[in-house]
Amino acid sequence: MGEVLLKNIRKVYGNKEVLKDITLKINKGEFFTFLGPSGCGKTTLLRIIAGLESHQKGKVYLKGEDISHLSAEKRKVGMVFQNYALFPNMTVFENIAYGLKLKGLNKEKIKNKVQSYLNLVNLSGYDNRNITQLSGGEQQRVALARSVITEPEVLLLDEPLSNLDARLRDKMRLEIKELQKKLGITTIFVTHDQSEALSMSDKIAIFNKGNCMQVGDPVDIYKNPKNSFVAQFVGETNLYNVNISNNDAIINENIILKLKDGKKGNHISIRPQDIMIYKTKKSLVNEFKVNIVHIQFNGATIEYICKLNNLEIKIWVLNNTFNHNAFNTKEDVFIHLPKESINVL
Amino acid sequence: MDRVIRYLKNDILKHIIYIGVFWILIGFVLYPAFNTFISSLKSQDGLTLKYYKDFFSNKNNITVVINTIKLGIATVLVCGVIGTGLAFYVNYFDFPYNNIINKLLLTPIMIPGVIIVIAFIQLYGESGLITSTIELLFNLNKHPYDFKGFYGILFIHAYTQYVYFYLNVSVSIGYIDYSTIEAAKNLGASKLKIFTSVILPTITPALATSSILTFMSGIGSFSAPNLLGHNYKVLSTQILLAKTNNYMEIASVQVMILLFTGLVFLTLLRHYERSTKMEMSVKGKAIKPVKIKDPKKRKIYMALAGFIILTIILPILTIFLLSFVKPGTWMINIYPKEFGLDNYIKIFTKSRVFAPFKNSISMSLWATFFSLILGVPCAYIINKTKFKAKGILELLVILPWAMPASTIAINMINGFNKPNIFVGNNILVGTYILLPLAYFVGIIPLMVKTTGVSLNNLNNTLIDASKTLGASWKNTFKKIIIPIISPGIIAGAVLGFIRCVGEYTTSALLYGVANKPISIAMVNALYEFEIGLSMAYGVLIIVITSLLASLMLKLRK
Repeated sequence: MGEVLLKNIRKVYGNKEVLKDITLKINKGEFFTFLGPSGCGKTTLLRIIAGLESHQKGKVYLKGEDISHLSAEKRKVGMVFQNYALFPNMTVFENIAYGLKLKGLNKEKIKNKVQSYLNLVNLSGYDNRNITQLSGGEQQRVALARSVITEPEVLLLDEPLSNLDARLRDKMRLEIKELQKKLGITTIFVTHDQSEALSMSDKIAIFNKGNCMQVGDPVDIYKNPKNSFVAQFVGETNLYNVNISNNDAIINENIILKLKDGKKGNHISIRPQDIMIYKTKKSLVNEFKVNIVHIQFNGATIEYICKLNNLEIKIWVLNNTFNHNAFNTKEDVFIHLPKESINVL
Repeated sequence: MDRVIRYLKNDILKHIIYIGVFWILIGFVLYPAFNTFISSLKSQDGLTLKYYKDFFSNKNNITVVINTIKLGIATVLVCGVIGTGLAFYVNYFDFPYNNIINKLLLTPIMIPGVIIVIAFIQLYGESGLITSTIELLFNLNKHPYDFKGFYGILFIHAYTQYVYFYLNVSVSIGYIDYSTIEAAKNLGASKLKIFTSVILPTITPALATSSILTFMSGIGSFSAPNLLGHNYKVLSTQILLAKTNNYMEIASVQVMILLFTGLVFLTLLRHYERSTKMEMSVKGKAIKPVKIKDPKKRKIYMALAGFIILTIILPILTIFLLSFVKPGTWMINIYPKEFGLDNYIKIFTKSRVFAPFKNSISMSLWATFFSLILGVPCAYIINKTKFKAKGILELLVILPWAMPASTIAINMINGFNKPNIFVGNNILVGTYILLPLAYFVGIIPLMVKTTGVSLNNLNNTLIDASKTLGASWKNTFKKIIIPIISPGIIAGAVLGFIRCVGEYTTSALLYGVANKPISIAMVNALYEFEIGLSMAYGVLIIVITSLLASLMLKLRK
């Protein structure tokens, strides 16, 4: 398994620059995610690594070797496509064995290896099934087995969960992650779903408009977003334009928030679950009286939309026995925004 | 240096294919057409418009041009009404036997035109079976109708060419989103309003496409005008006359006018077709065939179904029946009386009689084989690559579509009556190969289009997946692309073969002693009053084409 190094990758379609000077390092055995909205360039970058897309500038290194000039079939890179791209003219066995046959392995070896990978993805006994007879999840597993059986240096996953229903998606997240751990294979995963990225990745790179906005581990990215795009894209947040002077963040010229020492920036971000809400005044720093304008029941949580003058603030409270029906619409309540939960961007 | 070697290694096969397809298309499509153009302008004093001036100064020639256009337009109108009506009849109403009627309605496409013309002459001609029966029943002294000239040709065109409208409109009826009809009803639209505002816009592109196809085959039609046109002369028959009298420059002028007429109409309708094309916004609900509950209406519908079946089956039955008529026994009687297997025995025992059958099969196989070799890579380049000159390639590929069969034949003569570089400086006129080459040129667009449709349905990620699994371009083509698109390729090959095996127009212009095809033998037998033999040839072709067609349908499933 190898590490991947992308150095100054630039890609232009016509007049549009879809990737702007991207440099990234994906370590050996890492589960690395490219996360971003559609059209941000993440899939294009993945296809450049696979050799399916050309690029104008930059180099792709695999295990220290420049592979930029190699065609896709020579790169030792496995890929699972969004629609799985299973060959409809072949059975499950033939699909999985395809790469091995091209390598020229003998029949016996192919048979044994395919069987062991069918076991690995829990599809024993499916050898002779047609692709059309499989459910979405089963097709997904065949595609996975097919892409890793040739023991590639790196596995690329292009939004492989987007065609599955919610429950199956959760199950497949676990299965993919387990398979990756078992094989120890360097994996690059492309998704627009932030919860997928946060739950599966060792490291995440956030993309927007062809730029890489931030690279880090999931907790770091969630806790310390570097800019307003990351703060908004990864998880829910309250994001405000501010003027900062003397450790005070001034919003709309009339709301003043105390910050931790020495923070500079134009925005502040605070997660809805970091804001406390209660009925009686506690005289804390950053405590405000607000009015509840809307309550939304989300199952595990309750969302309160409150107004402070004209400022809208979103607050999440765990929906347990104590908090259930705690507040009503139009009620005046107090909220507290702890200094340490406020990110200055 | 490294880069150059790598480039050559990776792309050399690709470039050989690019050069190959252009070589063939320029050599066999463009160059011959260009030679016809030059031939229409070339005189002893250099290039001149003299032949065009001569042509248009003759009133008869102008009549011929008008006749051709009139026939084309009339064919579009008649076939449009019949084909569209039948498409709604079969697809819009729910009745028993709809499936059988649908299959029957497609049969004319499987039977070569010349066979149908001959069958119609046997049925409705001066001494035809139906004509004589009517005379006998009503004790008439003269023929009840005159099955020749403009209306005779039009009658045959209606029978053979409604299929374009029928097929295309049937497909587009399938695209009608039933929920839009429900929405229109809900908004208070009347039945007429629903038809004009919901149904008609959906089928308009199909009507435009079918009009192009029908007009082109209408103005290029040869067997019907040749066999029963009498005084109604059209360009395609005049081209044969000019060629037979060795006035190649006149034939070239006529070909250019025919080609020009076709191109004008094609361009106009293509423009209209593009402007009416619409995308379906969401995946809709398929239309539900309407049940007719009123017993009176049901009876009318069933009677209509019976009439359609009879009209379609009658010529085919006639061909089968007459193929068993004993030679020389049906000269003066109204109905044939003696039947036997003599005609078939003659075909399979006398090598002279068998030769046309053998020639047609082998020439059609060659033409189909070449069209596969050229058509599959062309379709791939056009549909699946970013090749810069693919627009030009596409144009070259559909060019034969704008050329009626007689045009292709004259082009072949003008292109290969002197040595040329595309065929290694050989002269092909007078050789066996010229006719199968003309067949080949005629079916190029068909092959590329049918393969193209399958290629469009082939998801690009399958090709990408194969590459990432280590397959070379060659392996991907062999193991993934070809198996997946093979039903489309087979369909194209079968349709191409069917078109060649009974082809009459180019055959009449290009055949020689060595390669007399079955269609010519059929017509010759007819003129020699060997109707049974002529029909036996026809039966053999129908059997082969139906077997191939059912094989094609089976493979599609």
